[in-house]
Amino acid sequence: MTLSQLVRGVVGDQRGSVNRYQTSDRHVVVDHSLCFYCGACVAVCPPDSLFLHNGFLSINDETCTRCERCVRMCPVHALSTVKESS
Amino acid sequence: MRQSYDAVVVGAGPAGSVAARRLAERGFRVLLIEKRQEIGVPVRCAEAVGADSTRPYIEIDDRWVKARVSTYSIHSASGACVKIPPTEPTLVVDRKVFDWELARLASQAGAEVRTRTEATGLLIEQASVVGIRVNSLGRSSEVQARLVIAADGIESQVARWAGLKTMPPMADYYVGFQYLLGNLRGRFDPTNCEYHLDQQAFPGGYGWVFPKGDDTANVGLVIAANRAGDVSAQRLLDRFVERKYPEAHILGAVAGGVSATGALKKMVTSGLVAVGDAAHQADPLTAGGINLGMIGADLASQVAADALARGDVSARVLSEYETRWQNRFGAQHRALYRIRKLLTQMEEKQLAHLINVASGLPLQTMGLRELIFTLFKTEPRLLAEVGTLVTTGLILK
Repeated sequence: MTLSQLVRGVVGDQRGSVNRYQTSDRHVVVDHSLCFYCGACVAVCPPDSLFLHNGFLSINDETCTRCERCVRMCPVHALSTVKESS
Repeated sequence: MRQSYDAVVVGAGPAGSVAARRLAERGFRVLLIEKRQEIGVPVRCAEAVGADSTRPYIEIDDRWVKARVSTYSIHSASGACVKIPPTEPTLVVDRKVFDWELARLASQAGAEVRTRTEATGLLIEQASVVGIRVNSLGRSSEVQARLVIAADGIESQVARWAGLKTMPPMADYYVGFQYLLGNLRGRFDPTNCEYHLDQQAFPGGYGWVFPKGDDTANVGLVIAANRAGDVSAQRLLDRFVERKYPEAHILGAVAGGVSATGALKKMVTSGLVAVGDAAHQADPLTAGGINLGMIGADLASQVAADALARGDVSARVLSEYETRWQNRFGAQHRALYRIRKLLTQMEEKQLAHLINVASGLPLQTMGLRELIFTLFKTEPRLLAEVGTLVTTGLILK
Protein backbone atom coordinates (compact mmCIF):
# COMPACT_ATOMS: atom_id res chain seq x y z
CA MET A 1 0.00 0.00 0.00
CA THR A 2 1.35 3.43 -0.86
CA LEU A 3 0.83 6.62 1.04
CA SER A 4 -1.53 8.11 -1.54
CA GLN A 5 -3.82 5.08 -1.30
CA LEU A 6 -4.03 5.34 2.43
CA VAL A 7 -6.74 7.65 3.71
CA ARG A 8 -6.21 6.96 7.40
CA GLY A 9 -4.02 4.47 9.15
CA VAL A 10 -0.49 3.55 10.04
CA VAL A 11 2.40 2.60 7.80
CA GLY A 12 5.30 0.94 9.49
CA ASP A 13 6.93 -2.35 10.30
CA GLN A 14 5.74 -5.12 8.05
CA ARG A 15 6.97 -8.06 10.02
CA GLY A 16 4.43 -10.81 9.49
CA SER A 17 3.41 -10.09 5.89
CA VAL A 18 4.31 -12.55 3.14
CA ASN A 19 6.06 -11.91 -0.17
CA ARG A 20 5.06 -14.04 -3.12
CA TYR A 21 7.96 -13.13 -5.36
CA GLN A 22 10.76 -15.15 -3.88
CA THR A 23 13.23 -16.03 -6.60
CA SER A 24 15.09 -18.88 -4.99
CA ASP A 25 14.84 -21.41 -2.21
CA ARG A 26 17.81 -19.98 -0.35
CA HIS A 27 17.44 -18.13 2.95
CA VAL A 28 19.50 -15.16 4.03
CA VAL A 29 21.06 -15.77 7.43
CA VAL A 30 23.16 -13.57 9.69
CA ASP A 31 26.25 -14.66 11.60
CA HIS A 32 25.98 -12.66 14.81
CA SER A 33 29.61 -13.30 15.66
CA LEU A 34 30.58 -11.18 12.65
CA CYS A 35 27.76 -8.61 12.45
CA PHE A 36 28.55 -5.00 13.46
CA TYR A 37 24.85 -4.05 13.39
CA CYS A 38 25.74 -1.12 11.14
CA GLY A 39 22.52 -1.19 9.11
CA ALA A 40 24.16 -1.12 5.67
CA CYS A 41 22.07 -4.16 4.67
CA VAL A 42 18.87 -2.54 5.93
CA ALA A 43 19.50 0.41 3.62
CA VAL A 44 19.64 -1.67 0.45
CA CYS A 45 16.81 -4.14 1.12
CA PRO A 46 14.04 -3.49 -1.45
CA PRO A 47 11.19 -5.27 0.41
CA ASP A 48 12.28 -3.88 3.79
CA SER A 49 12.84 -7.32 5.24
CA LEU A 50 15.79 -6.50 7.50
CA PHE A 51 15.39 -4.82 10.87
CA LEU A 52 17.83 -3.28 13.27
CA HIS A 53 16.06 -3.27 16.62
CA ASN A 54 17.70 -2.56 19.94
CA GLY A 55 21.07 -3.03 18.30
CA PHE A 56 20.17 -6.43 16.91
CA LEU A 57 19.62 -7.49 13.30
CA SER A 58 16.67 -9.63 12.33
CA ILE A 59 15.43 -10.89 8.98
CA ASN A 60 11.84 -11.44 7.89
CA ASP A 61 12.22 -14.56 5.78
CA GLU A 62 8.58 -14.36 4.72
CA THR A 63 8.97 -11.05 2.87
CA CYS A 64 12.58 -11.55 1.71
CA THR A 65 12.83 -11.88 -2.09
CA ARG A 66 16.32 -13.45 -1.95
CA CYS A 67 17.79 -10.69 -4.13
CA GLU A 68 20.97 -10.87 -2.02
CA ARG A 69 21.74 -7.15 -2.22
CA CYS A 70 22.26 -7.28 1.55
CA VAL A 71 24.80 -10.08 1.18
CA ARG A 72 26.89 -7.99 -1.22
CA MET A 73 26.50 -4.85 0.88
CA CYS A 74 27.76 -6.33 4.14
CA PRO A 75 31.22 -4.88 5.03
CA VAL A 76 32.14 -7.91 7.13
CA HIS A 77 30.39 -10.72 5.22
CA ALA A 78 28.13 -11.49 8.14
CA LEU A 79 25.26 -12.28 5.77
CA SER A 80 25.14 -15.36 3.60
CA THR A 81 22.56 -17.62 2.02
CA VAL A 82 21.82 -21.20 2.94
CA LYS A 83 19.79 -23.73 1.06
CA GLU A 84 16.32 -24.46 2.40
CA SER A 85 16.56 -27.53 4.58
CA SER A 86 13.97 -28.38 7.21
CA MET B 1 6.71 12.88 26.47
CA ARG B 2 3.57 14.74 25.37
CA GLN B 3 0.85 13.47 23.08
CA SER B 4 1.45 16.12 20.45
CA TYR B 5 4.26 18.26 19.09
CA ASP B 6 4.83 20.71 16.29
CA ALA B 7 7.67 18.55 15.05
CA VAL B 8 9.05 15.11 15.85
CA VAL B 9 12.62 14.48 14.67
CA VAL B 10 13.63 10.83 14.28
CA GLY B 11 17.36 10.26 14.81
CA ALA B 12 19.79 12.26 16.95
CA GLY B 13 22.78 12.34 14.62
CA PRO B 14 24.19 15.71 13.52
CA ALA B 15 21.36 16.34 11.01
CA GLY B 16 18.55 15.44 13.43
CA SER B 17 20.00 17.46 16.29
CA VAL B 18 20.49 20.54 14.10
CA ALA B 19 16.94 20.31 12.74
CA ALA B 20 15.49 19.90 16.25
CA ARG B 21 17.51 22.78 17.62
CA ARG B 22 16.66 25.19 14.81
CA LEU B 23 12.93 24.53 15.19
CA ALA B 24 13.08 24.76 18.99
CA GLU B 25 14.91 28.08 18.67
CA ARG B 26 11.99 29.34 16.59
CA GLY B 27 9.65 28.51 19.46
CA PHE B 28 8.15 25.26 18.19
CA ARG B 29 7.50 22.28 20.44
CA VAL B 30 9.95 19.64 19.28
CA LEU B 31 10.59 16.02 20.22
CA LEU B 32 13.94 14.49 19.18
CA ILE B 33 14.03 10.71 19.47
CA GLU B 34 17.01 8.36 19.19
CA LYS B 35 16.52 4.62 19.02
CA ARG B 36 19.90 3.82 20.53
CA GLN B 37 20.38 4.01 24.26
CA GLU B 38 23.20 6.52 23.86
CA ILE B 39 23.73 9.36 21.43
CA GLY B 40 26.80 9.21 19.18
CA VAL B 41 27.49 5.48 19.42
CA PRO B 42 28.23 3.36 17.56
CA VAL B 43 30.25 5.67 15.31
CA ARG B 44 29.93 4.84 11.61
CA CYS B 45 32.14 7.49 10.12
CA ALA B 46 35.66 8.68 9.25
CA GLU B 47 34.93 11.74 11.41
CA ALA B 48 36.33 14.54 9.21
CA VAL B 49 34.48 17.85 9.03
CA GLY B 50 35.16 21.25 7.47
CA ALA B 51 35.82 23.82 10.21
CA ASP B 52 34.07 26.69 8.40
CA SER B 53 31.04 24.56 7.53
CA THR B 54 30.74 23.31 11.11
CA ARG B 55 31.04 26.65 12.91
CA PRO B 56 27.46 27.82 12.22
CA TYR B 57 26.18 24.81 14.18
CA ILE B 58 28.59 24.41 17.06
CA GLU B 59 31.50 26.27 18.57
CA ILE B 60 34.75 24.49 17.77
CA ASP B 61 35.82 22.79 20.98
CA ASP B 62 38.94 20.82 21.89
CA ARG B 63 36.78 18.30 23.74
CA TRP B 64 35.84 16.83 20.37
CA VAL B 65 38.55 18.11 18.01
CA LYS B 66 41.11 15.32 17.74
CA ALA B 67 43.22 16.75 14.90
CA ARG B 68 43.49 19.93 12.85
CA VAL B 69 44.30 19.21 9.25
CA SER B 70 45.85 21.69 6.82
CA THR B 71 46.68 19.46 3.83
CA TYR B 72 45.28 16.47 1.97
CA SER B 73 47.64 14.07 0.23
CA ILE B 74 46.51 11.87 -2.62
CA HIS B 75 48.43 8.65 -3.24
CA SER B 76 48.35 6.22 -6.14
CA ALA B 77 49.16 2.52 -5.86
CA SER B 78 52.63 2.98 -7.35
CA GLY B 79 53.51 5.65 -4.80
CA ALA B 80 52.81 8.83 -6.79
CA CYS B 81 51.73 11.50 -4.34
CA VAL B 82 50.48 15.06 -4.37
CA LYS B 83 49.62 17.35 -1.45
CA ILE B 84 46.76 19.76 -1.97
CA PRO B 85 45.27 22.41 0.26
CA PRO B 86 41.73 21.50 1.38
CA THR B 87 38.81 23.73 0.31
CA GLU B 88 38.56 24.66 4.00
CA PRO B 89 40.53 23.80 7.17
CA THR B 90 39.55 20.31 8.24
CA LEU B 91 38.96 18.87 11.68
CA VAL B 92 38.97 15.22 12.64
CA VAL B 93 36.47 14.91 15.45
CA ASP B 94 35.38 12.46 18.10
CA ARG B 95 31.84 11.77 16.91
CA LYS B 96 30.78 10.38 20.27
CA VAL B 97 31.37 13.74 21.92
CA PHE B 98 30.44 15.81 18.84
CA ASP B 99 27.05 14.15 18.34
CA TRP B 100 26.30 14.23 22.03
CA GLU B 101 27.13 17.93 22.23
CA LEU B 102 24.88 18.74 19.24
CA ALA B 103 22.01 16.88 20.91
CA ARG B 104 22.66 18.72 24.15
CA LEU B 105 22.45 22.04 22.27
CA ALA B 106 19.08 20.94 20.85
CA SER B 107 17.93 20.08 24.35
CA GLN B 108 19.20 23.41 25.67
CA ALA B 109 17.23 25.21 22.95
CA GLY B 110 14.05 23.55 24.24
CA ALA B 111 13.76 20.37 22.18
CA GLU B 112 12.71 17.35 24.26
CA VAL B 113 15.32 14.65 23.69
CA ARG B 114 14.60 10.97 24.34
CA THR B 115 16.98 8.08 23.73
CA ARG B 116 16.06 4.41 23.46
CA THR B 117 12.94 5.63 21.69
CA GLU B 118 12.25 4.11 18.34
CA ALA B 119 9.87 5.08 15.54
CA THR B 120 7.77 2.04 14.64
CA GLY B 121 5.31 3.59 12.20
CA LEU B 122 3.84 6.78 10.76
CA LEU B 123 0.31 7.99 11.44
CA ILE B 124 -1.38 8.92 8.20
CA GLU B 125 -4.53 10.95 7.56
CA GLN B 126 -5.78 12.08 4.15
CA ALA B 127 -2.49 10.96 2.60
CA SER B 128 -0.52 13.21 4.94
CA VAL B 129 1.82 12.29 7.76
CA VAL B 130 0.20 13.47 11.00
CA GLY B 131 2.27 11.75 13.63
CA ILE B 132 4.35 8.81 14.61
CA ARG B 133 4.09 5.56 16.48
CA VAL B 134 6.94 5.11 18.91
CA ASN B 135 8.29 2.60 21.32
CA SER B 136 9.97 4.43 24.16
CA LEU B 137 11.87 2.39 26.72
CA GLY B 138 9.57 -0.55 26.02
CA ARG B 139 6.24 1.33 25.93
CA SER B 140 4.34 1.90 22.70
CA SER B 141 2.37 5.05 22.05
CA GLU B 142 1.14 7.35 19.31
CA VAL B 143 2.40 10.90 19.11
CA GLN B 144 0.70 13.55 16.98
CA ALA B 145 3.07 15.77 15.03
CA ARG B 146 2.33 18.56 12.59
CA LEU B 147 5.63 17.66 10.94
CA VAL B 148 7.88 14.60 11.09
CA ILE B 149 11.56 14.96 10.22
CA ALA B 150 13.25 11.75 9.11
CA ALA B 151 16.90 11.92 10.21
CA ASP B 152 17.31 8.21 10.75
CA GLY B 153 20.35 7.67 8.60
CA ILE B 154 21.25 5.54 5.63
CA GLU B 155 18.91 2.75 6.73
CA SER B 156 16.02 5.23 7.17
CA GLN B 157 12.74 3.45 7.57
CA VAL B 158 10.76 6.59 8.24
CA ALA B 159 11.50 8.10 4.82
CA ARG B 160 10.64 4.77 3.27
CA TRP B 161 7.33 4.43 5.11
CA ALA B 162 6.47 7.87 3.78
CA GLY B 163 7.07 6.59 0.27
CA LEU B 164 10.21 8.68 -0.32
CA LYS B 165 13.08 6.32 -0.37
CA THR B 166 14.36 5.29 -3.75
CA MET B 167 16.74 2.38 -4.00
CA PRO B 168 19.82 3.36 -6.05
CA PRO B 169 21.72 0.64 -7.92
CA MET B 170 24.45 -1.11 -5.93
CA ALA B 171 27.11 0.82 -7.92
CA ASP B 172 25.94 3.93 -6.09
CA TYR B 173 26.48 2.55 -2.61
CA TYR B 174 29.78 2.47 -0.81
CA VAL B 175 30.57 -0.32 1.63
CA GLY B 176 32.88 0.93 4.37
CA PHE B 177 35.11 -0.37 7.10
CA GLN B 178 37.50 1.45 9.40
CA TYR B 179 39.87 0.81 12.27
CA LEU B 180 40.91 3.30 14.87
CA LEU B 181 44.59 2.38 15.05
CA GLY B 182 47.01 3.18 17.85
CA ASN B 183 50.76 2.86 18.42
CA LEU B 184 51.46 4.87 15.27
CA ARG B 185 53.53 7.77 16.58
CA GLY B 186 55.74 9.13 13.80
CA ARG B 187 54.08 6.92 11.19
CA PHE B 188 51.81 9.61 9.74
CA ASP B 189 51.56 13.41 9.59
CA PRO B 190 49.04 14.52 12.24
CA THR B 191 48.14 17.63 10.19
CA ASN B 192 47.44 15.77 6.94
CA CYS B 193 44.63 13.54 5.66
CA GLU B 194 45.82 10.76 3.33
CA TYR B 195 43.65 9.49 0.48
CA HIS B 196 44.71 6.32 -1.31
CA LEU B 197 43.43 5.66 -4.82
CA ASP B 198 44.19 2.07 -5.67
CA GLN B 199 41.61 0.09 -7.61
CA GLN B 200 43.15 -3.24 -6.61
CA ALA B 201 43.13 -2.51 -2.91
CA PHE B 202 39.91 -0.45 -2.86
CA PRO B 203 37.78 -1.45 -5.87
CA GLY B 204 35.48 1.40 -6.88
CA GLY B 205 36.43 3.43 -3.83
CA TYR B 206 39.39 4.65 -1.84
CA GLY B 207 41.29 4.23 1.39
CA TRP B 208 42.20 6.85 3.98
CA VAL B 209 44.38 7.67 6.94
CA PHE B 210 42.89 10.50 9.02
CA PRO B 211 44.91 11.59 12.07
CA LYS B 212 43.17 11.43 15.41
CA GLY B 213 45.99 12.79 17.51
CA ASP B 214 49.73 12.13 17.35
CA ASP B 215 49.70 8.36 17.64
CA THR B 216 46.18 7.28 16.64
CA ALA B 217 44.43 7.49 13.29
CA ASN B 218 41.22 6.46 11.57
CA VAL B 219 42.37 4.08 8.85
CA GLY B 220 39.58 2.93 6.60
CA LEU B 221 38.20 2.29 3.18
CA VAL B 222 35.08 2.39 1.08
CA ILE B 223 34.50 0.18 -1.92
CA ALA B 224 31.70 0.28 -4.48
CA ALA B 225 29.00 -2.17 -3.38
CA ASN B 226 28.67 -3.63 -6.89
CA ARG B 227 32.38 -4.46 -6.89
CA ALA B 228 32.39 -6.05 -3.46
CA GLY B 229 33.42 -9.61 -4.16
CA ASP B 230 34.69 -12.65 -2.34
CA VAL B 231 36.81 -10.56 -0.01
CA SER B 232 34.96 -8.43 2.52
CA ALA B 233 35.68 -4.74 3.05
CA GLN B 234 37.07 -5.70 6.44
CA ARG B 235 39.56 -8.17 4.93
CA LEU B 236 40.62 -5.64 2.27
CA LEU B 237 41.39 -3.19 5.05
CA ASP B 238 43.28 -5.87 7.00
CA ARG B 239 45.55 -6.32 3.97
CA PHE B 240 46.16 -2.58 3.70
CA VAL B 241 46.91 -2.26 7.41
CA GLU B 242 49.18 -5.31 7.52
CA ARG B 243 51.18 -3.84 4.64
CA LYS B 244 51.30 -0.25 5.85
CA TYR B 245 51.13 -0.43 9.65
CA PRO B 246 52.05 -3.93 10.83
CA GLU B 247 52.84 -2.59 14.30
CA ALA B 248 49.44 -0.94 14.80
CA HIS B 249 47.08 -1.73 17.64
CA ILE B 250 43.35 -1.89 16.94
CA LEU B 251 41.61 0.51 19.32
CA GLY B 252 38.26 0.46 17.54
CA ALA B 253 36.43 -0.85 14.50
CA VAL B 254 33.61 0.67 12.53
CA ALA B 255 31.45 -0.75 9.73
CA GLY B 256 28.85 0.93 7.57
CA GLY B 257 27.31 1.69 4.24
CA VAL B 258 26.54 4.95 2.53
CA SER B 259 24.82 6.04 -0.65
CA ALA B 260 26.90 8.17 -3.02
CA THR B 261 24.30 9.34 -5.51
CA GLY B 262 23.66 12.87 -4.37
CA ALA B 263 20.46 13.77 -2.53
CA LEU B 264 17.10 12.20 -3.28
CA LYS B 265 15.07 14.28 -5.74
CA LYS B 266 12.04 13.89 -3.53
CA MET B 267 12.92 14.67 0.09
CA VAL B 268 9.45 15.75 1.27
CA THR B 269 5.90 14.55 1.38
CA SER B 270 2.91 16.13 3.09
CA GLY B 271 3.81 16.41 6.76
CA LEU B 272 7.32 14.98 6.43
CA VAL B 273 10.83 15.97 5.37
CA ALA B 274 13.98 13.84 5.21
CA VAL B 275 17.45 15.19 6.09
CA GLY B 276 21.03 13.92 6.19
CA ASP B 277 21.84 10.37 5.14
CA ALA B 278 18.11 9.55 5.21
CA ALA B 279 17.87 11.91 2.21
CA HIS B 280 21.16 10.61 0.71
CA GLN B 281 22.78 14.00 1.21
CA ALA B 282 26.34 12.66 1.50
CA ASP B 283 28.98 13.91 -0.94
CA PRO B 284 28.86 11.76 -4.10
CA LEU B 285 32.66 11.70 -4.39
CA THR B 286 33.97 11.19 -0.86
CA ALA B 287 30.71 10.04 0.81
CA GLY B 288 31.38 12.55 3.59
CA GLY B 289 28.04 13.52 5.08
CA ILE B 290 28.35 15.34 8.41
CA ASN B 291 28.51 18.90 7.10
CA LEU B 292 26.07 18.26 4.27
CA GLY B 293 23.63 16.65 6.68
CA MET B 294 23.76 19.64 9.01
CA ILE B 295 23.29 22.06 6.09
CA GLY B 296 20.39 19.93 4.81
CA ALA B 297 18.82 20.01 8.26
CA ASP B 298 19.29 23.77 8.41
CA LEU B 299 17.65 24.32 5.00
CA ALA B 300 14.84 21.93 5.92
CA SER B 301 14.17 23.60 9.25
CA GLN B 302 14.02 27.08 7.68
CA VAL B 303 11.36 25.89 5.24
CA ALA B 304 9.63 23.80 7.92
CA ALA B 305 9.48 26.73 10.35
CA ASP B 306 7.78 28.90 7.74
CA ALA B 307 5.41 26.07 6.82
CA LEU B 308 4.49 25.46 10.47
CA ALA B 309 4.00 29.18 11.06
CA ARG B 310 1.67 29.38 8.04
CA GLY B 311 -0.16 26.24 9.12
CA ASP B 312 0.48 24.56 5.77
CA VAL B 313 2.84 21.59 5.74
CA SER B 314 1.72 20.27 2.37
CA ALA B 315 4.29 18.70 0.04
CA ARG B 316 3.93 21.72 -2.24
CA VAL B 317 5.05 24.14 0.48
CA LEU B 318 7.77 21.86 1.86
CA SER B 319 9.22 21.27 -1.61
CA GLU B 320 10.84 24.69 -1.31
CA TYR B 321 13.46 22.79 0.71
CA GLU B 322 14.25 20.57 -2.27
CA THR B 323 14.58 23.65 -4.46
CA ARG B 324 16.98 25.32 -2.04
CA TRP B 325 19.07 22.15 -1.80
CA GLN B 326 19.21 21.74 -5.57
CA ASN B 327 20.15 25.39 -6.07
CA ARG B 328 23.00 25.07 -3.64
CA PHE B 329 24.34 21.58 -4.36
CA GLY B 330 22.58 20.07 -7.37
CA ALA B 331 25.08 20.95 -10.11
CA GLN B 332 28.11 20.55 -7.85
CA HIS B 333 27.06 17.08 -6.76
CA ARG B 334 26.33 15.94 -10.30
CA ALA B 335 29.89 16.99 -11.19
CA LEU B 336 31.38 15.21 -8.17
CA TYR B 337 29.46 12.10 -9.14
CA ARG B 338 31.04 12.24 -12.62
CA ILE B 339 34.49 12.70 -11.11
CA ARG B 340 34.04 9.63 -8.93
CA LYS B 341 33.06 7.56 -11.96
CA LEU B 342 36.14 8.83 -13.81
CA LEU B 343 38.58 8.25 -10.98
CA THR B 344 37.36 4.75 -10.27
CA GLN B 345 37.65 3.76 -13.93
CA MET B 346 41.14 5.15 -14.32
CA GLU B 347 44.13 2.87 -14.74
CA GLU B 348 46.98 3.18 -12.29
CA LYS B 349 49.35 4.53 -14.97
CA GLN B 350 46.97 7.29 -15.92
CA LEU B 351 46.25 8.19 -12.31
CA ALA B 352 49.95 8.29 -11.39
CA HIS B 353 50.53 10.55 -14.41
CA LEU B 354 47.82 12.97 -13.26
CA ILE B 355 49.18 13.01 -9.73
CA ASN B 356 52.69 13.68 -11.01
CA VAL B 357 51.48 16.55 -13.20
CA ALA B 358 49.50 17.97 -10.28
CA SER B 359 52.47 17.84 -7.94
CA GLY B 360 54.34 20.18 -10.31
CA LEU B 361 51.60 22.81 -10.25
CA PRO B 362 51.40 25.84 -7.92
CA LEU B 363 48.55 24.29 -5.95
CA GLN B 364 48.52 26.85 -3.15
CA THR B 365 47.40 29.53 -5.60
CA MET B 366 45.17 27.40 -7.81
CA GLY B 367 41.46 26.91 -7.41
CA LEU B 368 40.16 23.38 -7.69
CA ARG B 369 38.37 24.27 -10.92
CA GLU B 370 41.61 25.47 -12.47
CA LEU B 371 43.43 22.40 -11.20
CA ILE B 372 40.93 20.02 -12.77
CA PHE B 373 41.03 21.92 -16.05
CA THR B 374 44.81 21.78 -16.13
CA LEU B 375 44.91 18.10 -15.27
CA PHE B 376 42.26 17.09 -17.74
CA LYS B 377 44.02 18.92 -20.56
CA THR B 378 46.96 16.57 -20.14
CA GLU B 379 44.88 13.49 -20.88
CA PRO B 380 43.02 13.25 -24.20
CA ARG B 381 40.44 10.89 -22.75
CA LEU B 382 39.70 13.31 -19.95
CA LEU B 383 39.55 16.31 -22.26
CA ALA B 384 36.22 15.07 -23.53
CA GLU B 385 34.94 15.12 -19.94
CA VAL B 386 35.82 18.76 -19.37
CA GLY B 387 32.74 19.78 -21.34
CA THR B 388 30.55 17.55 -19.18
CA LEU B 389 31.96 19.01 -16.00
CA VAL B 390 31.49 22.56 -17.21
CA THR B 391 27.90 21.98 -18.22
CA THR B 392 27.13 20.26 -14.92
CA GLY B 393 28.68 23.28 -13.23
CA LEU B 394 31.85 22.16 -11.53
CA ILE B 395 32.34 24.99 -9.09
CA LEU B 396 33.48 23.91 -5.69
CA LYS B 397 33.13 27.25 -3.98
